[in-house]
This record gives sequence, structure tokens and C-alpha cells, in this order.
Amino acid sequence: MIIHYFKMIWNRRKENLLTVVEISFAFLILTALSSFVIMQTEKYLEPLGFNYKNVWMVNAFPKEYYPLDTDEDWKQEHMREKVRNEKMERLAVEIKNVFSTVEYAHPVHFSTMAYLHQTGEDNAFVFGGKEIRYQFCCANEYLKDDLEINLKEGRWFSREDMASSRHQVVLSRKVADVLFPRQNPVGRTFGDDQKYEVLGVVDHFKFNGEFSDNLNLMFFKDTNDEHNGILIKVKNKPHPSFEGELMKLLRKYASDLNFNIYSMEKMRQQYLRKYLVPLIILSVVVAFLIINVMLGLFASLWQNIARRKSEIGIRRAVGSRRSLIQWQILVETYILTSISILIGFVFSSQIFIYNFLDIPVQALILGHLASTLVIFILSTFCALLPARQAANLKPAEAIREEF
Amino acid sequence: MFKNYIKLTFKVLMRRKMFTFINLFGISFTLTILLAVTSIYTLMIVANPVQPNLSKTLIMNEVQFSDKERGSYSSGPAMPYFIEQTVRPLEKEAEIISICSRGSGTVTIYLGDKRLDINMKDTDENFWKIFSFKFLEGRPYDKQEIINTPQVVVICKSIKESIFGASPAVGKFLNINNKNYKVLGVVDDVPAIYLSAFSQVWMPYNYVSYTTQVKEKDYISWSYQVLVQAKSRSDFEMLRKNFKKEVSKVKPPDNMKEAESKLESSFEFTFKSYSDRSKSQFILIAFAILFSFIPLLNLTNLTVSRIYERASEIGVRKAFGATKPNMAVQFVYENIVVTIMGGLFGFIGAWALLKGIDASGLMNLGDVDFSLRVYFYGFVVILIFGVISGLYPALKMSKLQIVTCLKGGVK
Repeated sequence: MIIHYFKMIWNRRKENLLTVVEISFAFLILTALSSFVIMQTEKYLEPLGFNYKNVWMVNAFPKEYYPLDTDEDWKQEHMREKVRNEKMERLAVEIKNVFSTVEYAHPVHFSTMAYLHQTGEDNAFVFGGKEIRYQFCCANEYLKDDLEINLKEGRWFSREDMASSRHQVVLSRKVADVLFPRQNPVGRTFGDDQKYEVLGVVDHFKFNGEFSDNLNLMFFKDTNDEHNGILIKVKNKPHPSFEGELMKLLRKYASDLNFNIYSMEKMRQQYLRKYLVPLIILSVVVAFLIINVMLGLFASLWQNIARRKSEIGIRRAVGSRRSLIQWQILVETYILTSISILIGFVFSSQIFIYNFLDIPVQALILGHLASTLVIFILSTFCALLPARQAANLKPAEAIREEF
Repeated sequence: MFKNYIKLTFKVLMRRKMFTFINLFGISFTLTILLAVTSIYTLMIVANPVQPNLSKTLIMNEVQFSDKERGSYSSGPAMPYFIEQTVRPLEKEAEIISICSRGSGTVTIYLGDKRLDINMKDTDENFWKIFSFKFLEGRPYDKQEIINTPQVVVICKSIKESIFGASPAVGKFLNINNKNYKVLGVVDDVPAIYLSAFSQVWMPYNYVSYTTQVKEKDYISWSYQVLVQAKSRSDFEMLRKNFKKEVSKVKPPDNMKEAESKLESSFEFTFKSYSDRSKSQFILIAFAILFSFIPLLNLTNLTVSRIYERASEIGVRKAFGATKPNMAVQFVYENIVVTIMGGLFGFIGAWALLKGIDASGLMNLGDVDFSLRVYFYGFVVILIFGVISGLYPALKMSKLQIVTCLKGGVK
């Protein structure tokens, strides 16, 4: 029976060619989009690894910059930096004192300011003959509790650690797995002269935002004291005037610095928007495109039925049941769709070989499955009405048209 | 004859309204998207109301110092000393050279409980000559003011309204980072997609620090961008060649060996700042082609299947002596009429889409007027659609035998 269906499709190959090409195109586009969406969703669903609610960030930068050519220039710059850091310490204390809603205010290094400091794995070191790219965060002893970082193994820097000159680090799970595969990294050492000692491991800390990858991340101790930020958490949603008053306070205490104040929640909203808006626009466009294709499929099926009246009439006349005819149209459509998807797959499978979109294989497979499913469901919808129409043909009428 | 064709076209269109709808929907939707993309592209790359000479402008956006042996690189916006060494010598060959800060920095102003984030850009006096901003009040600053009274600003309309309300703002003072700036002029809002012109507040660049750095040959302020407006596009090659020569003469900072920089056209500049990877451009182009292919196939497919519906009509015409070319012209003609109808809807759709995008705040586009160029592209696309989708069916049809046609039994 199924061979018979194939034969019928083959006999009308010229008419079917355009339809097949069209569905293949639709499959390609839908696969690309759904793979991408699935990849982004997977990333989004992975824990962020820190708390952004009620957290505010103050970013300070000097009003004037000085030339840094000679050693003397650098010496002076370090002096200025030291003064600045002390000022930031005092400011943090002052903020805590002045505002009753503030739970904590701690000076931090710029690299720990989530959403604000967007970077990739910019640094590298050699381990076991291989170059390992990584990103670092200069963390202080409070950061774990401040941002509610979930430490999986070991411990965070303590106050004593911060004072000591030992090279201690906390690793992200990803880099820990690279350095010490299938071993407990806590207490191990690595690097030149084995000078870095692993204190703990953090599973997730996606400080670039929800849609970023888990990075090879290392938390170093914030010993160089380059504090150009203050991390503030408030107990409950502050009065709208909070920001303005905070700015007034900052300006009063440090007239040589410029400040920017960011609410981490707002930064997150902006970040999500930046990612979601293009994705939504793209999805809408693709949706319309698919509708377009499906309407085309529907129309050509409809047209086909009209042209095959005599064939169907004869089948009805010799005793074929309505359900069988309906079934025939559906199966023919499914075969057509399968062929198109196979042809589409010949092209889309190239992506597994040349992965130019950097999409993980798992998301690609899921994307292929999803778009196959969607196309089959849609082609069912497109075929149902023409199939019903074919089944309802009266044998007498259908045959009469032949003459 | 063509009048008859039109009559026939509409008769055929009205016969199967659903098919007509599907055809028109496909064409107008595709054209809507293509036109919207093209107009945004035109605004960013070719010309826009603020920057009519965009396509004649080259941008020096980045400087890179490197020591390739050590594998150390540092890159960023240009610094005064570098600019004076490399771009300044081009002054004679180019029309205008303007220096401004790269991108625009933001600064926050608190008006009571309200937070206002303002984009700021530092510029020289030529900036106002390269761009044609629409001044609602006042005027831009000139060279004298940049040197002598640098605490002046030009602000945009929306900032003026939220700070000074409806009354005129010229002569009033604006407090930014604890400094008072005198407002010299108010301009219409500039959409963010006019990449080099965009800001909300423009102020003179720091002339004193600039000249000091040039004098002392320092590379401190990595902050500037240079716009070079050529006399014509044909000068690009010459300007680039001379620029390259000047860059090769530059002495890089102590720990670096080589200096590199480029004069980029608006196309290179725009696509680089959106994605560094050429492969994503390739994907975009592939997507666009796939995208316009689908409705084209749809249209062809439907036209082909309608040939059979119209077999008897074709048979009669052929029997009365219509030649193959005659019939082909008719079919192509009909399809062009359909695509033009779809095209009209497409133009309306694109206009509405761009207005909608602008109003919804997804993307700030400013006043959207289709330029002649966009109309032209749209029309070309329509014609291509019509011809291709008509030719294939016409070819198939011309093979039909008169007798089978008249019998109505085309298989």
C-alpha cells in the first residue's frame, strides 16, 4: 500500500517538486531558529548563581587622568589609588550609617559587578601543556554572603586569608573540572611553582548575565585594593528618592570622583530586554514565514484535489470508503513532508560538521526534532480540510466531470 | 490588449479569493520585512536626515598598538597625539575632519525622585558642519568657545523638556557632575541608530588637555573618534593610502612596536560594531535569501497549479492563434499585477511596522521616510518576483496541447 502512495507521488513529481522545496526551506529556517531558542533557554534555565534583588552598585571613576609614562608617574598613581581606596572604605561605612534601609555596603573591585562588567575569557595560562582561557573576579571576604553565592565545596576567603599573602583561589566548577578531572579540587595546588591553592568550588556564577555560558572563572583575593565600586544591599524596596540622596552623599564626600549608580535589578531587566527583543522579533518573522508556507501547502493540496476528482471518483465508485480516501490524502502529505524534511536535513546536518553558530550538539538535535514535529503538526492541519473535501466527493459527480 | 489582461487578471483573482489572499499575503509580508530592513540599513549606512553625507564619510574608530613577538596588544579609541600625526595631514585632501568622543558616555541627573540617564558626547566645532542637526533654538559652539568658554552644551529636545519644561532653554544652566554648563542650543532628538551622531547632550571636547597631550606626545586619552568627510567616494582609496602611510610613520608607545588603524566606511563601521564575526553576516545573508525564496516559491507553485484550472481558457486562446510568447507575456503580466498589488500593501505594511517599532520603544528610528532608493529597491524586488513567478508557469503552459486543453483533461 505504502509503495503505491510513493508511486502516486512519483507520478506527479513535477507538481510536487515546488512544494517539497518550499517545505525544505521552511524546515531549514525553523530548525535554525528552534536550535537557537533551545540553546538560549537551556542557558537561561541554568542557575544564575547569585542574588540580584535589592542590590545596588556604585561605580566610581576619577575626574582626571594623569600621564603614566615614567616610574615616577606610576608611583604617584599608586598613591592616588591608595587615597581613593581609603575614601571608598569610608564612603561605604558612611552609607551604612546614613541610610537605615541599607543592609550592607562594601567596597568591591570592578570585576565583581555583575551585569555591568561584561567580559569573556580574556586571560590565559598554560596547564599541562594546554592553554586554558579564563576570567577572574577579584573578590573580598564578604562577596559570598553579599551576593548569596552558592559554594558547593570547600570554603570562601576568610578575614585571615585576606590578610595573608598566600595565593588562594576559589574556582568555578567548569575550570575545576579542567584542572582536576574526577578529583576533589579543594586543597589542591596548581600554577607556576604550584603557588595557587584551591579553597573552594562554586557551581554557577554567571556574572555576565542569564544568557552567558558558565565560564572558566577564578576568584582571586582582592588584595590589590583597587576598589572602584561599592556593593549595596537594601532591606526592602527603598523610597524612589534613595538614589538621588545616595548620589548627594557620594558627591559630598568625594568631590574628585564621578559616580554612576546602578540597580542590579534594573541592569538585569535591560540585559534581558537586549537579548529577548531581537529573539522575539525574529520568532515573529519566522512564524509569519511558516504560516506563509503552510498556506501555500494548503492551497496546492486543495488545488490537487480538484484536479484528481476523477481518480477519487473512480475509487469511490469501486467501493473505497470515505475514511480510506481521507487517509490517502493525509499519508500522501506525510510522505511529501518526510521527503522535504529529509532533503532539508541533508543541508541542516552540515551544521553538525561546521558548527558556525556555536550551538551545542544537544540543542541542535532537540532543535531538529522540534522543527520536525512542528512541521508535521502543521502539515496535518493543512491536509485535513482538503482530505475531508476529497472524501465528501460524490462518485457520480466526480466521474461525470471527466467527460 | 493590456486592458483585457488586467480585466482577466482581476476576474481570475476574484474567482478564488482564498488563493488571492494567500498570494497577496505572502508577497506583502515579505516585502514589508525586506523594505523595513532596507530602510533601517539606508538610515544607518547611506544617508539620514542628520547625516546626509554618510556614504561619503570615513571613520577612524580604533587604534591598535602591538608587539607581535611578545603577543601583546592593546586597542581602543584614538588619542589626540595619534590623531594629529595621522589624520591631520589629510586635512587638505578631505572636505571636513571632525573629532569627537567615541560612542557616548552616560551620566545620571537626579530631578527630585526622578532619575534621568543622559548620553553625552564631546565634539569639536567641525562636528556641527559634518552633521546637519535641526536647531530648534540657539546655535552650536564655535572654536573660540571651545578654547575660551568650554562650559557650554547643546542639548536635545527631550532632555530640554524634562529639565526645563516648555520654556526656552538657551542661556539657562545645566548641572552635570557638579559643574554648571550654559545651554547654547537645542536640537531635535537624534535616533540611536545614527551611530556617530547620536547623543542627548553635546559639549566641547577638552581642548586644553588635547593640546597638552599633543605637545607632550602622550598617549593618555583613549577616547576619540575621527570622522573624515571626503569630497567624493572616489577619494576613499587615496585617503586610505595616505592615512596608511602616516600610520606607518607613527612611533608607538614604549613597550609596543607597531601601530595600526583603519579608515572605515559607514558599512564597515556599522557591521563591525554589531558583530565581529563575518560568519554571522554570512548567516544573515543566507537567511535573507531563504526568506525571500519562500514566498517566491509559493507564488510560482500557486500559479502553476492554476494553469490547469485555466486550461480551457488557454486552449481557446491558442486555438484562435495566440503564440507562445503571447501567452507567456500574459502570464508574466498577470503576475506582475499581483505582485504590484502585494507590493503596495507591503509599502504600507513596512511604513506601519517602522512606525510601530519606533513607537513601541524597541528601537529608536526617528522620522521614517522612505527614500527614493528604498522605493527603487522595493520596485525591483516586486518586478523580480513577478517575472520569475510568471515565467516558469508560462513555460509549462506553452507545452500544453490545444486538444487536451480544450477537453479539459490536463494531467
